[in-house]
This record gives sequence, C-alpha cells and structure tokens, in this order.
Amino acid sequence: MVDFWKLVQNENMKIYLRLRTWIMLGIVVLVPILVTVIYVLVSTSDSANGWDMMKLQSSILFSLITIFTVVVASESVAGEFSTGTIKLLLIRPWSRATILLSKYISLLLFSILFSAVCFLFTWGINAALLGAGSDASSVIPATSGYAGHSPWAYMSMYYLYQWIQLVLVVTFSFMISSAFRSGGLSIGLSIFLLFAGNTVTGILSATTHKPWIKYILFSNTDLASYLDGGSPLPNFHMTLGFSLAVLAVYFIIFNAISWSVFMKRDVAA
Amino acid sequence: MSQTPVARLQDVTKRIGGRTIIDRVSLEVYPGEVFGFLGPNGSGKTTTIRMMVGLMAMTSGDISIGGHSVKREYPKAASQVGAIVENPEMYKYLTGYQNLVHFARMNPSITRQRIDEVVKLVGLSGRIHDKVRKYSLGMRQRLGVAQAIMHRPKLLILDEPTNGLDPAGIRELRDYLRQLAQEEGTSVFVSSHLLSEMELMCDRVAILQKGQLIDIRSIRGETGTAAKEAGEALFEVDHPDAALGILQGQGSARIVDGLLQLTADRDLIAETNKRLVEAGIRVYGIRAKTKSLEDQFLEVTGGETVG
Ligand SMILES: Nc1ncnc2c1ncn2[C@@H]1O[C@H](COP(=O)(O)OP(=O)(O)O)[C@@H](O)[C@H]1O
Ligand SMILES: [Mg+2]
Repeated sequence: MVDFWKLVQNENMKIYLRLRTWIMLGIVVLVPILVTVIYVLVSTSDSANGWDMMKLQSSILFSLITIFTVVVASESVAGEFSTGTIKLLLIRPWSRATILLSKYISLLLFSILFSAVCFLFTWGINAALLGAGSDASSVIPATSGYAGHSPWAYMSMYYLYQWIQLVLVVTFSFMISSAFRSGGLSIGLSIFLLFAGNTVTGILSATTHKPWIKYILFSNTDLASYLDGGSPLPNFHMTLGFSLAVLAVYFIIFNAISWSVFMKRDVAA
Repeated sequence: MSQTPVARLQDVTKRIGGRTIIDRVSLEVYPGEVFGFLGPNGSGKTTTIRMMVGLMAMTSGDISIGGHSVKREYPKAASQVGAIVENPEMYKYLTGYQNLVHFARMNPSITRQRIDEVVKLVGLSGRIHDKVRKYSLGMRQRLGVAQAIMHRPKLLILDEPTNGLDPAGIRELRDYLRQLAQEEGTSVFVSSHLLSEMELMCDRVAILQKGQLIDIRSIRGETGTAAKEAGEALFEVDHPDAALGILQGQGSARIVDGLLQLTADRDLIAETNKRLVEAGIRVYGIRAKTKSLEDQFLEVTGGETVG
C-alpha cells in the first residue's frame, strides 16, 4: 500500500509540476473574486445574499473544473502514448492495472482539490463582501428536502452531486483516452457530451415519452435537481436512487472498458 | 555455458494482422555476457525487445527473465530488467533528476545516494537539474541509461543505444557496458543494425533477418580459437611470386593483393615460414586473416544490404 501510494505520488508530480495546472487553479480562485468584486462595485441593490452568489458561481465553476479535469485525464494516458513515455512507465515491476489505477486516483484527487478550492473561495469572497449568514431561505427552494436546514448542509450536498456528475464525465474521457490513445478526441468528445448531452436529452424528453430516455447517461447526471425537490426530466418518473443506479452502471462500464483495453493492447508507441 | 540463463526466449512468435513479424525465435542470454542482437532495419529487433519487456504480447512461445515468465509473472520478471526501447523518451517538463526520482519510486529500495551515484556514472551531474526539454539527444541517452541501471538489473536491454551518439559517446558507452558486464555481472542485451559496433562490444551476436534468427555466433571466442584451427594466413614477403614457386606443393597457396595467402593451422604456418626463410625469401610479417563479422553477416544473409 505504501508502495502503491508512490505511484500516485508520481502521477501527482506529473500533474502539479506543470504550469498549466497552476493556471487552472488560478482561474478557479480568481473567477469568484472578480465576479463578486465587480458585482459589489456595479450593483445598486444591497439585497444580495452571499449564498446565492456562491451557488451561481459554483455551478459555473463546476463546468470549468470538469473541463480542467477532462484535460488532465485525457493527457494522463493518451499523453504518455504520444510522447512515448508510456514505454518507460510500463516496464516497471507493476501490473498495468495498478498503474492505470494510480492515474485514475490522481485524477479524482485533482478534482477533489479543485472542488475544495472552489468551495473555499466562492464561500470566502461572498461571505466577506455580501455576507453569508445562517439565513439561507433564498438559496434553498421551499420544495427542497433541505428547506429549513443550514445552508452549509445544502451547499455540501450541492457540491457532492456536482462532483458525482464530474466523475462520470471524467471517467468517460479517461476511457476514451486509454481506449483510443488520443487526448484530443478524449477532450473533444467529453466536452461535447458535457454540453450537448444535457441539451439533447432535454429535447428528447420534451418531444417523446419513450421509456428508454431515462436510461441515457445525461438524463441522470443533473443530480442537483433532486436536491431542489425536482428531477432531471420532469416528464418522467425518476428518483434519486434510480439515477444513482443508472450512473453506477455507466461508471462500471466505462471503467471496465478503460481497464480491459489498457491491459490488453500492445504498446507500439 | 552451463550457467542458468538470465533471459530465455522459447519459440517466440509475433503475428500482427496475419503477418508473421517474429518467427519462432529462441535464444538464451547468460550472466555477465554482452549479447548482440543484430539485424537490418525492420528485421524485428524492437518487436522482440517489446515482447521481452512486456510491452507487446507474444502470439506464441514464452520469455522468461531470471526464471520468471513475462506472461505469467510480469512484475517479478520486470523487476530484473532495465531497458531503453527505441528512443529514451522522458518527461520533458520535468528535470532529469525528477525523471529519475519518478522511475526510482517504481522500484523498491533505490535510495537518493544511488540516484546521485548513477547520475555521476553517466556524466550528467552538471545538468541533472535542467529540464529534459533542454537536453541534447546524447544527454537523453545518458539519462535513459541512468534510469535503466538505477535498480541494478540483472538484465540490461538497450535498443540501438548508439543512435544519436557521437563516436566518443559510442566508445564511452561500449566501455561502460563491458565494465558493467565484467564487474557487476550484469547481462547486456543490445540491438543494432551496425555490424562494426556489435563486433567491438559483444561476446555473442544473434543475427535476425525478417523475423527469423539465422545464426548465433560467439565473437571473442572465435578469435581466441582461430590460431589452433586452420584459417587463412597472410605472409608479407619480398618476392611473392618466388615464394609461391617454393610452396608449389601446398595447394591452397595463392597471391592476394601482393600477399601470399594460404590455408594453414599453427604448425603449418611455422613450417611454411621455415621453408621460405631457408629458401632465401625475406618474411616481413605473418598474420591470420580473421573473418570480420561483416563477412560473416553478409555470408549468412546472402549479401543483403544492411541499412
Ligand atoms: N505495431 C505494428 N503493427 C504492424 N507491423 C509492425 C508493428 N510494429 C512493427 N511492425 C513491423 O514489424 C517489422 C519489424 O519491425 P521492428 O521490430 O521495428 O524492426 P527493427 O527494430 O529491427 O528495425 C517491420 O516490418 C515493421 O513494419
Ligand atoms: Mg528498431
């Protein structure tokens, strides 16, 4: 176990010793600061609540953090193939499955770090400039199961659900990265899925009522809508448990493909 | 040799898309020997090496390293191997040192002192904290050698390691590999398409052509025994024609490039020299004409050009 941690350390080293990573982190830190400062300077009303602003900024930043993690995930496997470093990586006394796992774990850690920084800065700047008291009636809809709870509990659940969505998109891009060994394809497809997926399932659900629509990945990723007492596709009868089960199946399929392809393929880079 | 081999390839075959790229290759590499793997470009050297280090699966056959099958006990087999496959690609955005730390973490028990020691050994001390992006090809080769030997592998596999090295670098590498084999008992498996290099560096050489092993020859052994066996002897004399006349009885005697050449073993060489001298011929020199590996190579490959 101690030894396996060294593999994760290696993957972390390859992520955090690149300038790119720090630029991404800088964006996650700067966006909430800039947005809130500009809002305070421009806004004439003083009714704004820090929690509302935090939720708005977090939802935007989560798309960004997803894209950043997708970029790192795509590079993680495909990048080693395109530079040829995969050869020196795979001739060590470790199974390919373990090496791939160390990469996957480093990606999850990356997304957790970025989510934590996002939480900290969106809360910090908005609490400081707009005030974020314990009254959260404006950020938690009355329909939510969390109505009356503390805004901390609500925002924590909001982050958890957003993070689960991120994990699915990143697992998808990790699969493309290790199956096709193309970072560009992986980034492109994942971002396309991230944005087009929601739109397409939205259109589908509005125009047809075929039951299979609720089994589509993107009919289930918007878990945050359950938090507010709704569901991702209001025309269908879906529950949080159902969506989590569907996501779990996709999660297992994506990873099964990543691992089986990565373990079998000849390395001719 | 009766020692247990460090590496054993048994009927290794690789087919890709119906084409047989490696065809039933079998060979053994023994402790402390420098084993050359010689073949023209495209003959399958890199493919064989990829299978030895587990980067490619074999279609049939098996490879064992230190007694462990690459197919069934990969981590155990891999722990005994250090390698560079084709170019030594490193993480360009890391320094040379960070690259070494990275690979050192993947093997148990490589200390910081060992890393420093290896850096010194390959002569990169002055530049080891520079980003690899700024390295020349020669420096990358050295860094490649460093990562390959850090964990003191029993078998060092180098795929065309002299590519991109200048003559001084090649000589240094050659000396270093011989030293590694002699002093640390490391077996070295080195591929090349250059005959001259193999001849200077290796104890034995396997010749690969179109995926088939056509010969394995020992190099140093051969020059050692040449004197006892009948070989071609060259006599440098003042009057070759007169000398040929004196040696009429010896069927093989002839004149080649102004030298008297005949097939002879040690005793016959001494005897011939005596007859020439007694007949008043001045003998300036006698030497054995050893077949160079190039001659052997051309002989076995049927004169096919080597690119
Ligand atoms: N991944 C691959 N797919 C198909 N053919 C390949 C592949 N890799 C190598 N080959 C073919 O196998 C032969 C041997 O290649 P290689 O092992 O690189 O030779 P060498 O290293 O001796 O120059 C070549 O004809 C090459 O075209
Ligand atoms: Mg090659």
